[in-house]
Amino acid sequence: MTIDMEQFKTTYIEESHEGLEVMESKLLEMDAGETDEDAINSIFRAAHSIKGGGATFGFSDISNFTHVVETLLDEIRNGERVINQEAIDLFLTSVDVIREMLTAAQKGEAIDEARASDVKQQLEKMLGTQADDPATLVETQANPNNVGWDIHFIPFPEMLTRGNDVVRMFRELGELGAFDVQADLAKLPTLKDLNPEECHIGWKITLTGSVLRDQIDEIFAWVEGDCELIITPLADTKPTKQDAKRQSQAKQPPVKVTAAAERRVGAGAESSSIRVDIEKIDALINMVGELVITQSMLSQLGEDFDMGRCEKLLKGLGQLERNTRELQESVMRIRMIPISFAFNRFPRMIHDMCGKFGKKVVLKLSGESTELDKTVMEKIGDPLVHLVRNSLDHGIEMPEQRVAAGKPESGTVHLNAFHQGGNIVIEITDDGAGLDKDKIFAKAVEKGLVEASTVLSDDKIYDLLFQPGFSTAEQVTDISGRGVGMDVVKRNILALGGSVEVATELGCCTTFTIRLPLTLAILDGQLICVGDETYIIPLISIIESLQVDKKSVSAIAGKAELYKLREEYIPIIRFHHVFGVHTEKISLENGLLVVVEGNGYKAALLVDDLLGQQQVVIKSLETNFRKIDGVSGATILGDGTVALILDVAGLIRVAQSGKHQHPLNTIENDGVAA
Amino acid sequence: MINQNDAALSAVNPITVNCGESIDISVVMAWREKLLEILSAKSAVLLEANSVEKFDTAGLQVMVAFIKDAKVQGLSVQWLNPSDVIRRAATLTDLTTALELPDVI
Repeated sequence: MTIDMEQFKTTYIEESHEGLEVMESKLLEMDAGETDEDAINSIFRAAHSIKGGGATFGFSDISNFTHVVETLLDEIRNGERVINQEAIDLFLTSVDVIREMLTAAQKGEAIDEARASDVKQQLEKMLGTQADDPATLVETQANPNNVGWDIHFIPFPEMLTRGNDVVRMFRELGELGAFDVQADLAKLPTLKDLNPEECHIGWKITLTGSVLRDQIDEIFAWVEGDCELIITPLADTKPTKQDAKRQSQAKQPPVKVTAAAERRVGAGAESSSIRVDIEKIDALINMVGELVITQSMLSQLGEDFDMGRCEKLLKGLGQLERNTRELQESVMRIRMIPISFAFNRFPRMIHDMCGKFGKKVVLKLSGESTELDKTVMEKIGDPLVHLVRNSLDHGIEMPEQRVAAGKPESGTVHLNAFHQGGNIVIEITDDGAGLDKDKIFAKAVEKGLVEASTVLSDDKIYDLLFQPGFSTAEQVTDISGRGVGMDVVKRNILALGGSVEVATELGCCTTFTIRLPLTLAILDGQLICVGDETYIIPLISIIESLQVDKKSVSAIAGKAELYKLREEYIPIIRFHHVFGVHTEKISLENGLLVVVEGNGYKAALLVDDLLGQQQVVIKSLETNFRKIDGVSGATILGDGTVALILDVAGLIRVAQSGKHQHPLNTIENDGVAA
Repeated sequence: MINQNDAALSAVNPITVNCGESIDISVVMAWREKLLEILSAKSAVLLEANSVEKFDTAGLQVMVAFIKDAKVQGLSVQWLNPSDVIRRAATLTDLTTALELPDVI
């Protein structure tokens, strides 16, 4: 049997990235001088797995590097060393180095040997010197149980299928000291009832000699969670608190179902694979089962069909439609991953930035389990980073300034995510200095973005932040303040079909609110007809549809046509003219208007007719044809024809650009009063 | 209940099983099928195991289950020159007796 190691390498790399996330988050939770046993064990286990896998799959660089990290962690775990801030920072840097090594291994690129070697030297230096340093050396815990250990080991059935082998483990145990073992065959079924890949034998082991508990733990580290394991010192047969905990952990359901996917999001960190919660797969299988039943019912009906069974046919088709929709939803759900994958990078980022700028910031995360499409997630990573950096750099004040302003010394940055309608909303709030609208306006005038005499609403002033080249930072830092970024942030969010708004209170807080569609693959659309063509307007862009009331139409300077909708004047866009479509319905009289909004601008589209509403699967026009202004994509309708999906913001831009002549059929020609 | 005549007959004509090089998790499913077939033949068995190089927990367990079942059915199972790998694995896991491995001469 040939085993394709490549598939395991991919899994190893993905799991190692997750291990690094664990290491990073636990390190960030740690306080210098205090050894949190659980945290340090989690970090150690992650490092141990990365090291072991690295050796197995031939990534000796990773294995060798992580070995030094692991050794240092082991000393801390054994109580031979206290963890200080320097060690925490060095471990965090090591996490970065291992992450870079894994990424290089994934892409088949060379690693940055100079950086890896530099950090490794620092680790070795810490290993070599500090352990002897009386200031940081703590009294090594004497092993009061050096007589030996009793080990009660009952593998869970599936333990063997995960590459674990009791023979190998016992061989390693035997190397530690005198080894006595007793097998328990009570639960072994008959050969007929035996699934031979499952383990049904338990063991009681007595290991005598001067053996450290950690040496035993290391041997069983690979099977933790896959077995019932109680280790007790021979002198004291009562299980320790730690043992009881291990046992209870081990008794948890052994099958780990994880929805965890690629952790790092953003440019260059997009993953081509996704981990899917098994419940989602089961739901999908159920849906497919339903579909098969419906299909078989319909094909049976087709074999022996007469008009008397028409009702049954319609019912069957209705069932098929339901099944298809549910199946589609289930498939789409597979691509949905929690926003925590995007949020997880921020604790580290804030930790590093606080260290650099001497600011004190508490990061608050909520709504981390809110799900959105993986593609959207990967593309929103960088804009989020920029907004959080801005909050830290420009928003949160220095501790002394905060205290002087009567605020707590530590600022708060709050990332919140929730679903609203068909969108995901992400809020980035800081309790910093807020935005100074006068300062923003003055800067915009200085940069020539607006005239000094212009009167702008508060919202429009804050919107200037997103203009290219705008920055109010008095000092350019390497974090932000170069005036590039906020415009890119907005552009990226708009490209995803989303929007970004800012709300602020001077001296108190600022909130950036991002709204994004949950998925980029499907949208709810309104089908409209102009001439012989069918177009799709995203439902989210439509405000309302109405029949033209000629009294509400007016013209400005004989050029633009406006429609008065309640207290607002909205420009009319003659759809057929913009797209050059021939239609008989060119008159506004009794025409149909669809009022739409895109990028903060409203317009009323004159269309021939409104057809149905339906969900459409978006096909890229750019990939299959070329980019067209005012069109975001295309779809294939039920009758096989292609319909263009409108990019409302783009369409308004095209219409306003004047690239299209005002229709020959003017208001006067329509007989509508000007 | 074992028929004494059958038992006597099977002892005269044992089935010899060449264990090959591997009795491990990668082939343990096939081993189970093979051993069930052998059990159904109700014959004494000779396990020729001098070439076995891979013998892991799954391999140990399937052989223990087979030998236990054979014993219940009154069938004789004997090892022929079990390899060191088999002996070491059985010793480490306390399964030498359950496997009915012969003493080293």
